[in-house]
Amino acid sequence: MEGPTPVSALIHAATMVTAGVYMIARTHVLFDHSPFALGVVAVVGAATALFAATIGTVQNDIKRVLAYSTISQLGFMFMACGVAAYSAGIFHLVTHAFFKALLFLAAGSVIHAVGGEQDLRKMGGLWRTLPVTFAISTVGVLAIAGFFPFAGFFSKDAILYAAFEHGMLGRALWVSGLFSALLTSFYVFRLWYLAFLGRPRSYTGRHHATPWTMLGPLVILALLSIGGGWIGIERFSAFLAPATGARRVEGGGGHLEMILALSTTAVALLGLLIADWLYRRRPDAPAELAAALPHGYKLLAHKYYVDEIYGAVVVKPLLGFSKFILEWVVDVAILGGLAWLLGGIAMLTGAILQRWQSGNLRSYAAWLAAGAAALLLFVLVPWATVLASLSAIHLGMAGH
Amino acid sequence: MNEINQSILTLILLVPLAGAVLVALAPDRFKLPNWIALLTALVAFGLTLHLPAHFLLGRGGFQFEVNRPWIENPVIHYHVGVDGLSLWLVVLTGLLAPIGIVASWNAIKERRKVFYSLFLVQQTAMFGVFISLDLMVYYGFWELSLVPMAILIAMYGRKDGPKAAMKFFLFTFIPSAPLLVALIWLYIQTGSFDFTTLQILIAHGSFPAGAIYWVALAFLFAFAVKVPVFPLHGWVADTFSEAPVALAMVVAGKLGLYSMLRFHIGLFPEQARAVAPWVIGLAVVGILYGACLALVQRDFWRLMAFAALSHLSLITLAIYGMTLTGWDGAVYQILNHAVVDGALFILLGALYDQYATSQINAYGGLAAKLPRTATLFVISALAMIGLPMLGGFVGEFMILSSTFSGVSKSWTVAAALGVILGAAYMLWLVQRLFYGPESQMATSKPPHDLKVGQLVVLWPLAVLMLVMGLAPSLWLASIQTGVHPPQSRIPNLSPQSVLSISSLGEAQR
Repeated sequence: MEGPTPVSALIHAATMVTAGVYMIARTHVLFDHSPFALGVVAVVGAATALFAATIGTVQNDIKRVLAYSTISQLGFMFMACGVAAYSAGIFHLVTHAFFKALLFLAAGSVIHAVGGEQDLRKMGGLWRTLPVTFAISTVGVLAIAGFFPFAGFFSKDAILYAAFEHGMLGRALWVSGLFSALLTSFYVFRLWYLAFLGRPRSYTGRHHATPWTMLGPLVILALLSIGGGWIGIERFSAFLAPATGARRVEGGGGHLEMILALSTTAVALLGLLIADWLYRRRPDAPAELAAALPHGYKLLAHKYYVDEIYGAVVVKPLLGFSKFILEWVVDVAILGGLAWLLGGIAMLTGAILQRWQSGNLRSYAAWLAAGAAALLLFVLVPWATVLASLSAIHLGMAGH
Repeated sequence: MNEINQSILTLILLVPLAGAVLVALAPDRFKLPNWIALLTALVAFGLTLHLPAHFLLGRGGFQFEVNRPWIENPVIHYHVGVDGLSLWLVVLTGLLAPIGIVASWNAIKERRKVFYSLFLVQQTAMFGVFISLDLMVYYGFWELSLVPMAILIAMYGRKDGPKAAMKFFLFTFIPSAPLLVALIWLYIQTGSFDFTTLQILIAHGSFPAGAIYWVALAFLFAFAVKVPVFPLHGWVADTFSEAPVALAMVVAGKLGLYSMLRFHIGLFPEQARAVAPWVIGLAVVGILYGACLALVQRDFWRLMAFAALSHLSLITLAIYGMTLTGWDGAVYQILNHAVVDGALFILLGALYDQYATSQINAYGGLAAKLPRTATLFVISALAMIGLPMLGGFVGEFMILSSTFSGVSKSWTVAAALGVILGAAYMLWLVQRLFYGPESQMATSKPPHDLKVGQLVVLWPLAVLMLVMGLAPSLWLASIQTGVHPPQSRIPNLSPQSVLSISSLGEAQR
């Protein structure tokens, strides 16, 4: 997200963030053996979708909104994998690639046009100056929000349907997913209203016309975002069947399918209406709402303090432990102390022995004399006699 | 060709030594010592390349072998040879010498004759360690490798050279004493210093069980300090901070690790197996301990020291995991680690020469000013972390997978945690040196990016990291012939022939 916008588009749409979903689908043989692991995947996915969508509703950086949206959509894909609807997950991965790349590139076009400004609060009214970008972004927004007949509708619907069919846990996932879809619709329309509609607010940069080299790819992506969903989940599952297995037939048709599809569309519409109410009719309402719920707003604005929690739970303790316990106590005090002690003993022995080699002639002479005396003593003393008399004394004492 | 094969190892030993003499005799003018040393090192490197070119893959045992009686009493032979285990280590030693000389080209300004002459002696000593197959000759080279190192650290230390040199010398020299005692004990028992003979005799002969255990332990102790293995790493941080780049590149790791494989596990497989759980435990502690300490270092030399402790402990873990894949991976990782560490040392040395500080927080935002340094540093750092497609991945993967399947799952998890921490401290180092806001020091000094001379050695190293990541079989094919279990290298040996060798020893005594 911090990278150059085309790089963000590539990373978010295609390569990095979707690797996990691909890996689960690829190794589904393993996951199929463990319903528990699948359940974890599903719950984590649903939680991620909800968690990131709520954060996305209060971000003001245009690219940041899209980044959290990616995380949220990734949650949808995981949820699909978790209910063993791998082809639905991959289907959403594909359609998401179309409209997310589109939205990121459109955001790049917008940022380029307003002189590098990324703050949504300072944009506004861009539909007039960037009509093509506006039109294309509208396609992207409708697609991600899940409006029929755009691409996002088909894949999101397939996921929610698969979840609904997945027993009790599935129903809970479906409710959570539906709510996340509502939030998705809300935050993208919020972005849409803030950036393109209303009056121009305080962006300072001069307008750059967007060149066709930037718009060309956008048009292609827009066409895919409109038509990409018509592949249909049935055909897509059949296409993936050799890789993901064909046990599950998603999208059976019938009443249930119809009702679920309608509910998906309904929440998308609801999201649009809320955004419309908050950002068009009552522009003061968002600020009032934030003021009315200061704690909730702060929690979302700080992304649930996840970074802070990691910092406090993992990074700081690890660094503190390494610094104070491992480095100071173990390395410096204990191991360093031991080495110092060993070195100290060697030095001390050396210092004592060094006294012999003082370099002082008189001292050498004294040692020489002492040595000669000791040697003479050793040679001249009749040790045998001395020892004999000593032992005699000893024996005599013992005898008494 | 046969004659070349016969004399190639002797030439490899003699060329750096001759260069050392030449440097000592030549006048210290016009960078003459630098050029002589560089040419000698290049010739020696060229000679080492003869080895892989004519190495016969299908054949086990030693090749390019020379075995001549040298001293009659005690029986010492000039016995040298290489197998798959030592082959690439010899080439690596040859490769790192010219690189080290180029890295010192402008950094060493005073007493160049002493520096380059001792550097070349050190080179001979390291070659000798890798090719000697007579334990006394090996011991001589092993000791010889310590001396130039200690002198050079003392002379060219950055702040307190003599103290670091003293520490280095005591730490590495004291364990050599038990090693010598153990060698002499072995000689008294068997009448031979010859590696292959001893291998057979120890495998088949009967020794006092307690004594041979202690002898093996003396071997291990000497090698463990040199690797280093936790908690014997006390010398590393000071040595890395003080040693000139060319020496810091080679001081840790390969000599000790190679010796463990060849002379501890190779000679005393049973005894090594008995202590293996302990060594593995220490290795895992070392992996995590080194990584944790590397995280909190403020000085990049010290960071590199603890990073080396962590990485070398991982290799130690693989060696004492006693699996064939682990041994292959260990040797491969020795090569890879030396290449990557070499590149990183040259780059850090270039930074140090320019800014005269190794405090990490004095740096920052250098990527825009020093794009070449930053690029090469990032590549090397990624290779160190073990990014797939670069050399580190192959070695680490072989080590971790063999430990997982052959040793212990929980140890593997701990070791893998160390690998993750390794990514943390390396990337954090990259970020603090090259990215973020430009530091005051970076803005106040005119930037000097890498020069042609440095690029000429660094880019090949970077390419080598890539090739080592993409085509490991180029190296592994020959490494694998070397790390077969020692038993399989003693083919069809009847107890009679062992007896005759053993009685030969008796007679000679």
